[in-house]
Amino acid sequence: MNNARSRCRCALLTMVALAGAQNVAAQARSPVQDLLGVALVAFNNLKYAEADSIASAALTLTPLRRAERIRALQIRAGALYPEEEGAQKRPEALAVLRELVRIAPRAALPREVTWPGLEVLLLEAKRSTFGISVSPQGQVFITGPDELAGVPVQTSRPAAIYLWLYPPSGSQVMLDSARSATNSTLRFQVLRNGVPRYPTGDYRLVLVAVDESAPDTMRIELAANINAPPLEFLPVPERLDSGFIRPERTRPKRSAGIMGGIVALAGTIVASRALRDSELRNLAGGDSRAISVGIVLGVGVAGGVWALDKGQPIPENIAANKQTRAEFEKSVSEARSENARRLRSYRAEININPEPKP
Amino acid sequence: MRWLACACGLGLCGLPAAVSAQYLETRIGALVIPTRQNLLNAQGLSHNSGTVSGGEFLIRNDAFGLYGKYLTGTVGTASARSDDGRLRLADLRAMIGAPIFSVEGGYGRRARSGSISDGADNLVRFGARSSVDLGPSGLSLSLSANAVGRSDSVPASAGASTSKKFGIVGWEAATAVLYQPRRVPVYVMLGYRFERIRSEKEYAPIRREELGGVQIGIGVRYLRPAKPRSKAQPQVP
Repeated sequence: MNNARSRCRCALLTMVALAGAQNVAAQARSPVQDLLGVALVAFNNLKYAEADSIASAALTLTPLRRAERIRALQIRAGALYPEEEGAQKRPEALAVLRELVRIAPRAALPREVTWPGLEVLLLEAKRSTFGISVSPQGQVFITGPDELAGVPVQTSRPAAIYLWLYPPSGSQVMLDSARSATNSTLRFQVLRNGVPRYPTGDYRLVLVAVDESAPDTMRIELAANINAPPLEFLPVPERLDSGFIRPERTRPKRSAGIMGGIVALAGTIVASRALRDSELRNLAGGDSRAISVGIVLGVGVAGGVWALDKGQPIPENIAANKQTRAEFEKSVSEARSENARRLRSYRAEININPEPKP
Repeated sequence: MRWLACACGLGLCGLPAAVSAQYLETRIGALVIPTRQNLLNAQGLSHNSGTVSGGEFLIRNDAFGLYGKYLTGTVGTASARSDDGRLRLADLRAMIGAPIFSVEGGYGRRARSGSISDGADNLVRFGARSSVDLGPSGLSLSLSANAVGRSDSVPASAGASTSKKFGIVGWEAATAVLYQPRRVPVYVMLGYRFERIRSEKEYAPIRREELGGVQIGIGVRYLRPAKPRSKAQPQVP
């Protein structure tokens, strides 16, 4: 029964392989993919040792993409723990599956290699292994001040996850973190207070996951490029330059008040003394109240003008200032509207290479 | 009377200009003047005091003006050397010139009861007046000085009839400070007034008199000040 199933599967895969071979000219296949195809053919031909050996060889090649690594590990797991009991190498298969869970905690086994016993073994590997995988979008456009870039992260067990950004020079910045998470998206903003937080350039995104149930830490490093053009705002003056404001009142006539006080004092005394009749002057003194009244008038005029004169309104200047202020407010409003529009339409591009750096 | 007519004429001529002029001041009010008097007559020197009160009015623009005043009261008593001290003053003046400095001339009557002088003097006065509006403080300062003239009888010489001769017989000077709150057509006034006058009979002085009084006044007033001129300012962009 199993042999019959294997033969059918072999025939099917051969057809797939032939169909794939016809597309070789159209699609550039990597040597790793070719090797994995050969390994799969060997597996289907029940040559488990050969399939394991070829897949193991593929794992040693560089560059090795994450998907290829996962594929190779899946084939190895299937080859090490096939349905045939005599070919089963459970400890080795479990080790391979743990390696698979380490980089792809949510990965399933392909139909070509899996069977219930292997699925049970995979579950055991998932229970006992801490793993993390990142699946960022390759290209993300951030528009406006509030949009966030997200990096989806999956772990096999609850973990504390930290997302760090390493600039080409300078110290790293922690962008986001998550606690007790198995499936979360770490996010970060490109703009802060209307200014790009990170200038255009190449960066490294580093994810650090700390297993909360066992002393285990994993680190994944991704290459990222941020294209954040500077955001230029129109200058918005905070206040109207006082040089454009005309005086709305005349200057207080304080000096005139002092002069008026002196004149009032002197005038009163002179009036009471200088015009006196010469004959009466010899016979009687002058009116003593004149000096007191003169002082009262002098001090009253000077002090009154000093205290009461706040300047006289100048209607022309008041109207001109009103117009100036209105124009200023209008220009400020227009500048703010334009700046808000620029902020809303700001667009930054983030490219994240989903292939972790070795 | 001719002087009074001239003064009224000058004032009335100024009225049309006052209506259209930039500066305009009109006021009418009551006056109270506690007065002290030094009186020298045939009986000797006496010092008296009393209060005269009355009213005044003013209308003027930046070229012409008309001022009138009426005062009555008692300074001294009948015991004061045959003079019962009742005093009445009335005069009307016309002003020509800007408020800051204008010349004025007018006609007035001064009546003083008593047995040693004429019942009433017809007086001509001319002098100068200066009024300064001290801006938005509501204060105004006014100064005036006048010479007072009168035609007195000249004793007839042999073969000639009695004639009249005009001469300066006195002086008057006054200071006044007016305060009018903003948007309130009421003013109050404080000032000082000094008057000196000589009475004559047969062209010989028979009485010399000084009156000094503290002017206290209140009334209604409309003042349209000259428009302020703003200084050159930078252009609004």
